[in-house]
Amino acid sequence: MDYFAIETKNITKIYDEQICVSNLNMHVRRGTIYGLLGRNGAGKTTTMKMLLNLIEPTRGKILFSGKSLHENAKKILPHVGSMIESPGFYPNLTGTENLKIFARLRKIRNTEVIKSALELVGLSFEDKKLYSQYSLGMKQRLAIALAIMHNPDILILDEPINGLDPIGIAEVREFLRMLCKENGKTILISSHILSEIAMLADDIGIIEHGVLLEEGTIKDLEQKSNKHICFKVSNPEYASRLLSANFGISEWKVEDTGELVVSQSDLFMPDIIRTFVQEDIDVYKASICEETLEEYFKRITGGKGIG
Amino acid sequence: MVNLIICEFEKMKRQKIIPVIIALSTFFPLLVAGSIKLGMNGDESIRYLRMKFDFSYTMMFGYGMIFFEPFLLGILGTLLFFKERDADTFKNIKTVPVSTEKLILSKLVVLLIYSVVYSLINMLFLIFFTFLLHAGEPYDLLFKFMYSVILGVGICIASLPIIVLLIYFNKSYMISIIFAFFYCIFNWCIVGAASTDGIVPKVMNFFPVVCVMNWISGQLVDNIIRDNVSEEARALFASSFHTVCLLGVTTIVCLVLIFRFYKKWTR
Repeated sequence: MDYFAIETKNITKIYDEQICVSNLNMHVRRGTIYGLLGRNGAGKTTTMKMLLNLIEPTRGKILFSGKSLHENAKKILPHVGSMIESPGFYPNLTGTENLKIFARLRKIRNTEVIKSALELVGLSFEDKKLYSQYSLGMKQRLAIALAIMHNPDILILDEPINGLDPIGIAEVREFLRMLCKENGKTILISSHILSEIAMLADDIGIIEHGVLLEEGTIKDLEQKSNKHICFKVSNPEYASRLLSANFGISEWKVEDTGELVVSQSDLFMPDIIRTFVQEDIDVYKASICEETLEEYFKRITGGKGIG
Repeated sequence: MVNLIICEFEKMKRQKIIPVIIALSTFFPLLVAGSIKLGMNGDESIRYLRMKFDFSYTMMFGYGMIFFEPFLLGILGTLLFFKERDADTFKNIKTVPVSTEKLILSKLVVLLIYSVVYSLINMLFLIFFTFLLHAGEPYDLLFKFMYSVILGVGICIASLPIIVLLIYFNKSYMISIIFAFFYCIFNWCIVGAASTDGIVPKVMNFFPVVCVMNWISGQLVDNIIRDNVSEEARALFASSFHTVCLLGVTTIVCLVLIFRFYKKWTR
C-alpha cells in the first residue's frame, strides 16, 4: 500500500494569466491529519478543488494512493468525502431529505447510514426544519455529515469549522481526531486559523500566493523555527562589544526595548553572564527565546500574522 | 440514471410548480368545454355530440398544449436547470461523481415526463368537464390518449430551444419566464403569418412547435369527425417523415448546445 494517500506533483492552476497555484508538491500520509494552512486567497480552495476533480490542473499530476486522479476519478472519488467552500444543499428540503438525495446518488440504500452521520454531527434525523431555516453552524454540520455519510477513506475538508461556535469547534476537532486515530481515515483539512491546525494536524503545509512554502510534521516546523538568546542588561552597547570580543559573536542586535538579542542559541550562558558581571554590567534577564508557530508563519510568508 | 431521475423529482418537493401544473391543466379544458357548450344548438344526435367532443379535443391541443405548454416547460426547465446553480450543489454532485451529461439528461427526462403528464391530465380534465357540462360525448379514448402522449413528447422536444436559451443566458427566473413567454408568442406569430399567406406552409413547418401542431392536425383529421376541411388547410399538414426528421435534428442540436453551455457555467 502506498505511503501517501494523496500526493501532488507540480500541480499548477492558471486562470487567464493569474497563477492561483504554482508547482505544488503536497504529500498527505495515510492515516494522518494534514493541515493546509494559508491566508484567505492563498490557494487552499483551488488546491482542494483540483484534488476533488472539480477543476482541472493546468499542469501537474494528482495521485491518490499512487493512482492518477485524472485517469481514475470514477474509482477514486467514491472513497473521498469532501466539503468545499460554503455548504451547498437544496433549501426547500430538510437536512435528512438532502442527505437522502446524495445517498441515492451514491447508491446507499440503508437510511441508518444517514441517521448515524447526522447523529455524529449533532443533528436530528427526524428534524422537519428546512435547510433554508438552518443556522450557519447547522449548515456546516450537515456538510460534514454529507462528507462522512458514505464512510470514505479520505476526507477533504475546506475550512470545516467556519461558522461553528467554540463548543462546536472543539466537537468537530475531537470528532476528526477520532476518525483519524480510531478509524484510520486520512484527513486533509484547510484553515487560515493556525491554532486550530496546530492543535489538530499531524503534518502541516503552508501555502502562500499559490506556493507551498513549507511542509512537514509539527515537530519539523518547531525545529525549523528560530531560537535566540535574549539579555536585559544595564549597558547593552558595551555588552555587545564584549560578546564580539570574547565570544566571537557577530549576529546580535539591540531591540528598541533595550534588550540584546543574540541569534546563536548554542552558547554557554553562564560564561556570558559571568563575563558581564565581571565587567560591572548588571544582568536583569537572560533567557533562550523560541519563535512561536505564528512567528514562524509570519517569517516564512514574509508578512502579517494569521488567525 | 433512474436514481438521478428520482432525485430530480425529490428536489422538486415543496415547490409550487406541481399544484400550478395541475391547476393550469384544468384551466384550458374547462374553458374549451364551456365555450363548446355555449355554442351547441340543442342537437342530441350521437354524431353531433361526438363531433363537438372532437372539436373540444382539437381546441385543447391548439390552445392548452401547443401554445401554452412550451411556456410551462420553460418555467419548469428554469427550475430544473437553475437548481444546482442556486443551491450551490454542483460540487456535491460532481464529487459523487455524477457526470454533467447524465445530470442534464436526467433533467430532460423529468421535463419529458412532466410534459406527458400535463398532456394526459389535460385530456382527463377535458373528459371530466365534457361530462359535467354535457358538452359532447367522449369516445375513442384510447386513440386520443395515445395522441396526447405523442403530443406531450413532441411539444417537449419542440420546447428544447427555450431550454438552450435559458442555459445560454443563465439569468434570473424572471428573464427565463420572459424568454419562455416570447417563444410562445413567436409561435403564434408564425401561425398568424401563415394564415395571411405571409409565409408558405413548407417554411412554417420548419419551426418545431408549429410543425408538431400541423403534423398532429394531419393525423387527427382522418380519425375524428370534422366537417369541411379545406384543401388549403390540408396543405399545411406536415408529413410524419418531415416531423420526425425536424424533431430529431432539434433534439441533437439542442442537446449539443445544452451540454456545451451548461458545462461552461458549471466549470
